[in-house]
Amino acid sequence: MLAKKRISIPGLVLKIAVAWALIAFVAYPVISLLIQTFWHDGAISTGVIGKVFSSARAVQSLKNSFILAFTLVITVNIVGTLCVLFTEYWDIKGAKILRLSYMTSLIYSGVVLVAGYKYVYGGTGLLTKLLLQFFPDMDPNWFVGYGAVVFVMTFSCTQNHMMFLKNAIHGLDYHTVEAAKNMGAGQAAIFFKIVIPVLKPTFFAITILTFLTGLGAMSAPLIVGGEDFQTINPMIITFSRSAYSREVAAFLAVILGVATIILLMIFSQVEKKGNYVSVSKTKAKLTKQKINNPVLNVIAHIAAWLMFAIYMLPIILIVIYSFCDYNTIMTGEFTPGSFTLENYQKLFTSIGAVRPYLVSIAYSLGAALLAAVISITCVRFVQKSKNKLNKLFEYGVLIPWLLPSTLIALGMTMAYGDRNPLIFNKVLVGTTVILLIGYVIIKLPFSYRMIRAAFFAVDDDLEDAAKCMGAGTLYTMRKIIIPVILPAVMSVVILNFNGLLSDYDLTAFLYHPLFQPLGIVIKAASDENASIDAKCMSFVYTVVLMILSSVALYFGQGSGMQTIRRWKQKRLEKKVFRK
Amino acid sequence: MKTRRLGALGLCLAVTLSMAACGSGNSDNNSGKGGDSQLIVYTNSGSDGRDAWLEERASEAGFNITVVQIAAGDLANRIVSEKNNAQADLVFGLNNVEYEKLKAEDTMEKWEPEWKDEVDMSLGDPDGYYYPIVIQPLVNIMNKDLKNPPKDYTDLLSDEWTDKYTILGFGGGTGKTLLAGFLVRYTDPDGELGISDEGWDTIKQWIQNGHMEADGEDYVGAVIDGSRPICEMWGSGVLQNEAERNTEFQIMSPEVGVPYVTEQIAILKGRNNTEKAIEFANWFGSSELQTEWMNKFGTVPCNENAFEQASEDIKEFVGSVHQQDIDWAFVAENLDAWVEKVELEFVQ
Repeated sequence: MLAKKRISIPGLVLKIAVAWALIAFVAYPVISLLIQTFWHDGAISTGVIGKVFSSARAVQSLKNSFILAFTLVITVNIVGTLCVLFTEYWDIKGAKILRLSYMTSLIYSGVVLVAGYKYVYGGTGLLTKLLLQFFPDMDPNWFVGYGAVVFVMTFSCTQNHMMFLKNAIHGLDYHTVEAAKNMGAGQAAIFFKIVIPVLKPTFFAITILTFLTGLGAMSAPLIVGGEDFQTINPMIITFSRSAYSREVAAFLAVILGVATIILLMIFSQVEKKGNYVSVSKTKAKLTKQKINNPVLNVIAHIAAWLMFAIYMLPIILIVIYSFCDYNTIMTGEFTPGSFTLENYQKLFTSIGAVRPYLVSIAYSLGAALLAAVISITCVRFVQKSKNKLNKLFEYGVLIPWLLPSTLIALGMTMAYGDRNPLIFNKVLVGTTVILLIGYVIIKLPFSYRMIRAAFFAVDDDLEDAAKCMGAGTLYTMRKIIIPVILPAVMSVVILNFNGLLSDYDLTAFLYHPLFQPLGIVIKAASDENASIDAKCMSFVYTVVLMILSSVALYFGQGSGMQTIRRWKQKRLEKKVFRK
Repeated sequence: MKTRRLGALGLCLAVTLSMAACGSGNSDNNSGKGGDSQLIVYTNSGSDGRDAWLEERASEAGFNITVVQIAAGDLANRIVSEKNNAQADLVFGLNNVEYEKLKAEDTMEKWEPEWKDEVDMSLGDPDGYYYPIVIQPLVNIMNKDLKNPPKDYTDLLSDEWTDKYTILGFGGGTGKTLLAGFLVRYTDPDGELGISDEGWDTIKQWIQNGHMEADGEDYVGAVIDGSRPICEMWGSGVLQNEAERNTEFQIMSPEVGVPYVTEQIAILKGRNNTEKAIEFANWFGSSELQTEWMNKFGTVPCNENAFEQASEDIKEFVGSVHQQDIDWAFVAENLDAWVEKVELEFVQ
């Protein structure tokens, strides 16, 4: 009894430190922003409710955001799951190439991605031009509105599937599949009764993320939504930049936030009903399944390669356009004179041009790692402790999902623009750390949610066994737990790193003027006052970002590290051989 | 193998953390002092190579400066939020409305430039916080072959021009200021937000009869090919687009004039480099440097001695329009509320 009650001092210190960090940097800025926005002269201001709900545009945009979120939950889950099944589970010809093309959604996003789709399907796009040859009467501007937004976002938001569902499917114990086969189960039965249940925790996590992506949709509705399908987030961002309209922005954000809370609550209830965890200690590696039914097999191949085309066309065009002049990009008419290397020459006009890359890489990497470490710690606090109070860590970590990053940044500048006793009377605004803190904060909920899902794969028995043999907490963590969750953690780190590299919304408020990150430089290059040549630069920057992101993926996913290790090994062997 | 990977992770983390720590340490030392007479200059007008050019030119003149380009919408916000830990010595660019906000937040020093008599001080601040540098007339450009072009905003409300003109987004400086310029024609102290019912009705028709800029669309291209032949444009953008796209535009010149946005220069509070900063501002606003700035980047200088040396197309463009009489204090007080109302109620 007594032994159980003993409190470990380092554990307690860590807990207090994390709790302080969450209160000071996550909860306090958000709460103080909300209070300052809604609390006027000793009363909650209610005028904003009337303002918002009497605006037909705001109500319609809100509605559209929810329609989009629910649609995407279905479509992204279908397409994303197919991506993983085509490349990892079923035996499809050319799976390696397919995988590379499906992974393109991991390396670019935002305005340029949507622009890429527009260059295929838009008024002057490739496909439209082709279709016009056959159907001269069709409307060249057909790719607009709800359908277009859903299409673009369905294919561009599958990155979570390609990362986490892929990891989960590789965690499947093939013995179970074989056993089912031996018992005479058909392919469909195996798929729905064995494979899907194991993937359930991951599906839950991804579904939440997809829903949030839909609610927060920005570039796709702005560019291809047309007048009939605009969503609420662009309005929130615009309003949050003006001190006067901040109330409206915060109110709209709170509506989305409440929807998010409800969704999270529903999901954690459903999750409680049980998850299937593989209990095998010696898992067998997954073997790809051949589709027996020839008709289905052909259909699967056609679908897989059609998706290949959908994924590849926009990215190829972006790479080509990064070598083109402005008129070519806007009209889509290629001439021999269209191509130029000038865009790339401008990229490195001086040594100074490299600096933003280094700044962004340092910040993004630091924040991605910190967010992962804090998330792992918090997951352990919540899972391992009997005390219900520890659940507060989970709520704390998830707070940033309630507000868009612009408002979080504002909250931080308002909270720490002056000396504050909560952080020992320091001023954070204008220092270099505030951006790092901001980056960590906005990536916490995602990291926490995905790492929590990964923890379901950790077998409690292994941990107990380690403890019985006398391993300490840290040792067990390092040798038993981390290896199991590492693939998921690495995926989280890479996705966070890639996402932060060119962030603008949060960065704009928090960066130190002498350490300009990439997002700021890119925005300046495509500013309305920039020359039209500069607008071509957004393509060049995207290509460079794609390369950076691919490098991160290559190393993070292990194959890069392995190659280097093998090369080192060979060199070592050569040396020994010579001697 | 796993441990090593973990070790690497830990190392990276340590490095980043210590970097961040060092960084913050440095800036702590600098805060409120300004360091070794290096000047940090904030501007929204540093894109397109202007920042690099200015840094180089300033170092020839003996100034050690770093120009930090910040998007217009964020620049004033940033200066206000850094009030207690100022990071910059000067700011140039922006416009009167934004400077009025900065004045209200007590972020600027009072000063007086040597070239005060060479500029039209009606463009600047009567209280002596900010001084005019560059003028941007905001206009509507039209396709050069457009027949029977509209002469004023009010002409655009007819069916003839439905969906024929692009209105720039009200988040950006140009769209916002042109909206203000249109609204102040209907000033009415008893009206909603200081504007008469007739005014709101006109604005509503103007917005709903036109086309709001969508992200990533080529609205200047639409003017050139005639598919949407009218579009709002800022002054240097007119000349720049004419040159880069090898075309000419007609300029709409309403009788009441067009809004002139004036980029200004000001000294920020909370640094102890004020002397040096004023010295730099004296140099930067001088007719010699403003002439170079104009010749290099096609700006319209406020400095009269510099403007005399302007090229023919700049003079022709400036001559084709005249300044609308606008009470900027009134605009500054109401603009955000106007934009909010218009965004919520009129934009579709």
